[in-house]
Amino acid sequence: MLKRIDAALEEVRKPVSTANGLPNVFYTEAATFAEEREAVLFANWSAIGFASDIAGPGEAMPIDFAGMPLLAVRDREGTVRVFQNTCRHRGMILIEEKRTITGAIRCPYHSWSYALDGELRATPHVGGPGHNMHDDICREALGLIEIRSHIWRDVIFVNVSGNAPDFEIYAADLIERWREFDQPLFFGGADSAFQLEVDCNWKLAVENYCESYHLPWVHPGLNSYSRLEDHYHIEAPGLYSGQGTHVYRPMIDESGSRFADFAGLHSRWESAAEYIALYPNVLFGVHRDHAYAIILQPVSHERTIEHVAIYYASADMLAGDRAELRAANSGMWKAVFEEDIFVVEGMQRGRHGVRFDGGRFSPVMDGPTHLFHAWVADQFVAAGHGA
Amino acid sequence: MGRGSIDAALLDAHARHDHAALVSLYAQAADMFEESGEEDAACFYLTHAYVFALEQGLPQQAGLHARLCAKGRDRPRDGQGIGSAAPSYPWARRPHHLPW
Ligand code: FES
Ligand SMILES: [Fe+2]
Repeated sequence: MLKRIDAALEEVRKPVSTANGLPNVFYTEAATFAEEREAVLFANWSAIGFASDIAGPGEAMPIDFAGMPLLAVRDREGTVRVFQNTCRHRGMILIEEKRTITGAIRCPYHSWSYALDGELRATPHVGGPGHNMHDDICREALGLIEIRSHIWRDVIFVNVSGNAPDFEIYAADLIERWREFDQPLFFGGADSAFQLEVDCNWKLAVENYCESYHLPWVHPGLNSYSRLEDHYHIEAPGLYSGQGTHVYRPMIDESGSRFADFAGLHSRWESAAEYIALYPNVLFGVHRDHAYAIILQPVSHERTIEHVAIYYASADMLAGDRAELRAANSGMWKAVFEEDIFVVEGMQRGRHGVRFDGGRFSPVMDGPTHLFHAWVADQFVAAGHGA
Repeated sequence: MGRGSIDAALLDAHARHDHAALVSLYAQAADMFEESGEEDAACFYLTHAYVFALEQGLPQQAGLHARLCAKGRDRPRDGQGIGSAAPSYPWARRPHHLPW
C-alpha cells in the first residue's frame, strides 16, 4: 500500500492541469487514516472546538479528536488549556461529559486529582491506606499531559506533535488577509450553532468548500444572486484556499432592519464575502455583518461531524429582538450546508470505485481544491513518503 | 452519629452524588477514629474528606490537608491554592482569553 501511495503522491503534487487527486485509500482505508492522523492532523494546527463552548470559569469539555481523547479546560483566570483526557495513573478517561469543575479534576477510578492547570494535586492512598505520598511518586512530574493549543477567531487549535511553528506563524498569511476582521466576535448562542453528521471522510468537506464550481448545480438558490462569475479563487499554496464573492448582500427582515457591520471595514467588504479552508480542518466565512467557523471533526475515515458556529459584530446582535433574524441566518446557512451533504457522501461512496484514479481537476475551476490535495500530499512526503 | 449510621449516611451520599455531604461525613468519621486513637483509619477517612473537598474547591480542603501533613500522610505544596503552580510548558503561560 505504501508504494502505491508514494507513486500517487507525485501525481497529486503536479500542477493542477495535469495532477490527479489523492488516491482512494485516503478516503477508504483505516490504515491510511491512521497515518494521516500523524502526518496531517497531529503535525499541524488542527481545530478541535470552540472557546465559547467553555465560556465560564472551570468549564471542561471532553473532545474526541480523530480517536485521541482531549480535554479543553478554562481555568478561573480565563486561560484555556488542552490536555490529554487520560489519567497519569492507570490511564482512565478523566472527564466523560462537559461540566464545570469547581475545584479539581478528580479521576473517577482511584481519585488522583488535578488542578485546572494540569498539576497533580492529590494521590490518595498511593503509599498505602491513608498514606497519600510515596518517595517514588513525584507529583511534579505527573501532571496532565498538556497539548499545545491556541485560540483564533474563537476556534481552539491544537498541535499534538508540538513541532509545528507557532500558530501566529503557521496562519500568518490568513491572519494578515483578514486583519480587518480581527475584532471581537460575538457568538450568537444556541440559535447560531448546529452540527451536521456526514458519512464521508473529512477531506471531502474541505474539497467541496474550497470551490465555487458546484454552486450553480448544488445551490441553485444561492446562485440566483451569487452567480458563478461573481466568485473568485483564493489560493495560498501550502496554507489555505477557498473562494470569495463580489455580490454578498446582508440579510434584511420585513421591518428593514439587519445585523450591524464589523467596525472599520474597507468599502470593498460592502458586497464581498470570503470562504476559506485553513488547512487542515477548519472552514471559515467572513461577511461585513457576520462570520462563521465550521470545525470538521474526523470521527473515522468514513465519518465526520461538522460543528458550525455563527458570530456577530456586537453584543446588541445577541439580544432577544434579533432572535428571529439570527434564526433566519442560521437556517439559511444550514440549508446551504445540507445541500452539500449528498455530494460529500456521494464522493465518499464513489471513492470505493477501485478503478478511480483520484480524478482530474478543472485547470480553471478547481485550483483551490487541488491546492488542498497537494498540501495533504506534501504532509505525507514530509512524513517520509514519496520518492 | 455512631459508626453504623455514618456508614449508612456515606452510602446514601455516594448514591445521591452529594459530594458536599461526603466531605463532612468523611471528616466526622475521621474525627471519631482519631478520638479512639485509630490513626490509620482516621487518616483513611481524612484522605477521602480532603479529596472530595479538593474536587469541589471547598474551603475545608486547607484544614484537612494540613491535618494529613501534620500526621506525615501528605505534604505541603509550593504556591497557594489551585492553579497557582507554574505551567509545565512555555505556551501555557500565554493566556488564551476569549476574543471579547
Ligand atoms: S486511573 Fe486515575 S486514579 Fe487510577
Ligand atoms: Fe457547497
